[in-house]
Amino acid sequence: MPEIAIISGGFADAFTWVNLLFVALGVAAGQMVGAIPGIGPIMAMAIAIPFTFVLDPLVAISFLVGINKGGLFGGAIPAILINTPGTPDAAATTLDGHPLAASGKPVKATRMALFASVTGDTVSDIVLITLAAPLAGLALKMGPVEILALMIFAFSIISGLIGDSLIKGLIAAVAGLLLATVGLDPEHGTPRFYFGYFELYDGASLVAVAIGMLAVAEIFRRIAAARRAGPRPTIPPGQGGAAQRVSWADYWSCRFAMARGAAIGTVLGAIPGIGSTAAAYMSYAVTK
Amino acid sequence: MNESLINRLSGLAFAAFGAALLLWIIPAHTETASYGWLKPDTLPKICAWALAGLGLVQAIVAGGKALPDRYEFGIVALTAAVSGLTIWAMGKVGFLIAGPAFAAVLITIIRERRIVWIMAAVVGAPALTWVVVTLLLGRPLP
Repeated sequence: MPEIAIISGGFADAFTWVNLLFVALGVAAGQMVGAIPGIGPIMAMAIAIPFTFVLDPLVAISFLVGINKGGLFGGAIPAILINTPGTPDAAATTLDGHPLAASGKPVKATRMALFASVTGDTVSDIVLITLAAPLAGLALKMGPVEILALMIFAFSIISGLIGDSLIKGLIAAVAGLLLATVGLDPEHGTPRFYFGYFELYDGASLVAVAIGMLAVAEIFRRIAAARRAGPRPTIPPGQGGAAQRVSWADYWSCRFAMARGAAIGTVLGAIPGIGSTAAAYMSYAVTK
Repeated sequence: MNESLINRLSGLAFAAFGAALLLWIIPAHTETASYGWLKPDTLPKICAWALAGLGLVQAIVAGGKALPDRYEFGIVALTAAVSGLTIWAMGKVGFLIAGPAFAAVLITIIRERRIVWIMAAVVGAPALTWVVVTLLLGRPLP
C-alpha cells in the first residue's frame, strides 16, 4: 500500500492555483480539440508540448494531462450530437448517446457522458494511486494468448449484440479484422495490401477508419432519410430545462453501469495492446 | 426488391469478395515466406474464408434489416459515387477546388434551400478545414 505521507505530499504539490488554472486551460483546449473528429487529444498534446518548455514541469504535466482528459470527453460530444466520434475511444458512445440525442435530449446525453467520464476517470485515478503495483503485476502476467482470448471474447460479444443479425455482425467483425491486416506483417516485416501506397505501410489509421465507418455512414443515412422526418438531435420547443438535466436519481440509476465500465476500463487499460476503444466496447457489451 | 432478396444479394456479394480475396487479391498483395508458423497470408486467408462462408450463410438465411427503398438506395449510391469522384478529384485539382464543389453537390442532393446553410457548407466548412489543417496544424491537404 502507498504511504499516506507521499499521497498528501502529492496533493499539496498538485493543488496550487497555477496548477489548477493550467488544468482548467488544458481541459478546455482538450475538449475543443477532442470534439473535432480526426484530430484528438494526442495530436493536441503534441502541438502543446512546445508551450510547456517555458513552464514548471509540474504545471506542464498538469496542462498536458488536462488536455488529454478533456480531449477524451470532447470526443463524446460529436459522437452524441452527430453520430461521429471525435476520438476512437468515443466510438461506443455513439451506440446509445446518439439515439438519446435524437430523441430530443442532446444536452442530457452530453451531460451524462461528462458525469460518467469524470466518475470513471476518478475511479481509475484512485486505483492507480492505491493499486498500481499489483495491477502492474497482473498486467505483466497477461501474455499474447490471454490478450488473444480477450480480443476474441470482445469480438464475439460485439458481433452478437450490435445490430439485428448475428451473421452481419460476424461479417463486420471479420471485415474489421481483415482491415487490420493492412500494413507491415509483424512476424516477417513484409507489406500486405498496400496497393502501391507507401502510406499504408503503417496500416489503416484507426481515426480514418472510425470516421469512414461511422461519419460517412451517418451522412449516407441522413441523406437517404432527408425526405422523411428523420431523427435529428434537436431540443423540442417547449421542453423545459428539467428534461435536459441529469438528476441525482438519473446518475444513481447508472451506478452499476459506471462501476462496471470503470472496472473494465481500469483493468484492460493496464494491459498493453488492448486499448481504451476495445475496453469501451467491451464495457458497453457487458452492460447491454 | 424486397428485404429478403437484398439480404441474399449482400450475402452473395460478401461471399464473392471472400472468393476474390482467396483467388486474386491475397496472392497478388501478400508476400510468400518459407518460414514461420504465421505466414503473411495466414490471417488474411482465414478472414477470406470466413467472409466467403458467412456470406453464403447470409445468402441462405437472409436475416436482418435491409434498405428496401429504391429511391433511398439510389441517393446513397449517388452520394457514394460523388464521394469517390471527389477523392479522385482532390488528387488532381486540390482540396480548395474539389472540397467546395463536393459540398455544393451534397447540398443539392439533400435539397437545402436556406442560403446561410448553403454558404456555411460550400464556403465555411472547407475554409474552416483549410484553416485548421493547413494553417494551425501545418499539415498539407490534397
